[in-house]
Amino acid sequence: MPVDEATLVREARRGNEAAFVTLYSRHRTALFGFASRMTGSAEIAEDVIQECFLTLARGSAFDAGRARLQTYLFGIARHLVFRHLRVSERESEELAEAAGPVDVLEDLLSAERSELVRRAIASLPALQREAVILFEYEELSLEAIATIAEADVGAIKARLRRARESLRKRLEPLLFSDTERSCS
Amino acid sequence: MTERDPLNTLLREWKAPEPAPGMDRRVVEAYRATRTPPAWRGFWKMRISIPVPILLAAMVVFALLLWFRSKPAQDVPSSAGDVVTHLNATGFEPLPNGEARIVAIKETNR
Repeated sequence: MPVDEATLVREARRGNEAAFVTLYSRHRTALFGFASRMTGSAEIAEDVIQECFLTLARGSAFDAGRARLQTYLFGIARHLVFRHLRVSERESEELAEAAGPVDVLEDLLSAERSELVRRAIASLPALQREAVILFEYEELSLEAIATIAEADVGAIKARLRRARESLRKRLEPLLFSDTERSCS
Repeated sequence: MTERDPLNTLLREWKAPEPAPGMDRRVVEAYRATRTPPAWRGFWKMRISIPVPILLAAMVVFALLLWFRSKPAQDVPSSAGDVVTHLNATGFEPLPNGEARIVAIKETNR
């Protein structure tokens, strides 16, 4: 009989390791995907995941009656990811300004398509990147994303629209080649 | 945002990296560490096990030590009358010129 998450959280906080491992196994993949895509680093994502679950185990304010555990965990992960991004973006601000726009055609010659997608998403502003990753890759609903990002659904929709416009522009040569391939 | 949009297909080509194999163990160990109470709290519940022969030997040694310490010290035998063990040199002054003079016992008695 599957145990509900509120019970598992309570047990994990009491020191029941099996309950903790069950929660961890259920949510680790999605949280790791989100954190690694947002930060571009598997190592940082691992730190984020560890901190997320320890925060949960320490007994911070999770109310099973008000929110789903998934949303709560994504909220913690988001907080940690943005804290990291604030530091690293401040550090790399000058480098980014000097780098200038990326030449997609030139990149096409040397990089794989997935790498180009990664770079295109990484170039988005953090809030748009977050919306795209949670919607496209983690397949969360607009309402869940709005809860995690502490914004309203309209704002999330606008971020997604702007993000997709930017991605379409940056990845246009790849989209064009896809269309050609499907026609031939 | 429809599934037929080629942008969606393209975006799906980017897969998230796999976490390192040791991540799961690391997280569980970190969880265990948060559950372990500090060492000073465990002090009052600490237990040690000692084999009985060693305990008995230690008790015997301890008892012997106590017995030796509590035994009164033996009196030092009094010194014989013809042995001088103490000299009183109060008021002694050496002769200024360092010359020695032999004095007869009769003169000292006077």
